[in-house]
Amino acid sequence: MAAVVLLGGLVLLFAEGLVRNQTTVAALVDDGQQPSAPNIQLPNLFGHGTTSLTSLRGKVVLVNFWASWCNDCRTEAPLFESLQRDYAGRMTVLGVDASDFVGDGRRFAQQYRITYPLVHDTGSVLNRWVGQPSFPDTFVIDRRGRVVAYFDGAVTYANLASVLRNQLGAPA
Amino acid sequence: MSGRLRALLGLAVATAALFAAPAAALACNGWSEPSMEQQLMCPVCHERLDQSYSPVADQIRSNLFRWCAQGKTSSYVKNTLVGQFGEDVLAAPPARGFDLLAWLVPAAVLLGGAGVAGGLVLAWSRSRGGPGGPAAPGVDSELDARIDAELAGFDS
Repeated sequence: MAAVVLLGGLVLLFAEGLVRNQTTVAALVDDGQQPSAPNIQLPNLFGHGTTSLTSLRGKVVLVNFWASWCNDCRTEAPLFESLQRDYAGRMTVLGVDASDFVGDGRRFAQQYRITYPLVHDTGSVLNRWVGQPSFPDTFVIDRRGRVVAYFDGAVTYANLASVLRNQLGAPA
Repeated sequence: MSGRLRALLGLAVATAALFAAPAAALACNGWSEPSMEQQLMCPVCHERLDQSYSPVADQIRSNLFRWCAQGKTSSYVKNTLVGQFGEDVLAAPPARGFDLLAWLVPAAVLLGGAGVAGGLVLAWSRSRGGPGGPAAPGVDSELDARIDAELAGFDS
């Protein structure tokens, strides 16, 4: 009897792992779907309080998961800063410093003079969105809160600008 | 190298190791960097920290070095890392909630295995038929009589 319960438990754990891996936001987008973005509510990297994804609803949001130890993130930071400037008011970047020391994340943000909202994630949100992160990982969320694009690894201005043109038209 | 010299050298190395091991353990206020690395996971690549060469693992290692030099306690180190990276950074899951299964299941398997092994040993020892065991089956009396008759035929 105990053996049956044990075996059942193990099968359930295995199945849960499979389902969880297949239902990340990244997996759904890669599958051609445009799922509703799960809310993100995380502590701000600087100061107190939290920032949530729902508070940014109405704008196109670029959710960028980054870390101070990630080399490609150094290339991307100035790019996101210029996009934030070019599409001001219509689009915002939400930088999620994930799997990183808060202090290192803050130093990184100061070094690259990042002005867009930054939050810190212990890795749990990143796992739900990506599963196996490649750092950096970037999602584009439209005005209605649907995830319309996912970039696995470093992005270029041209890649993102073409998605943003579809969503917003030309930069201001 | 003579046998005596080799024995002396071996003794010296063993003595040094005996004194060096506790010193290393206490080097960081009751913990050591190698043992702490074995208790932690790389939060991104999900390998044990002492086996991971990812950038985040290097970053954690450099913090371990700093905390060691600052004399931080083992619980400070673990609590800080859990605060930054979540509980996945710990190699051993916390013994509560769903993670409690990770502790209970191996214990249950061990106990169950020990029970089965004990039962098997008991059954085996009984089947050998010691003083308290069941008597060996007797020879069929009809067969016994036939063998006697055939043996008597040889004698005559």
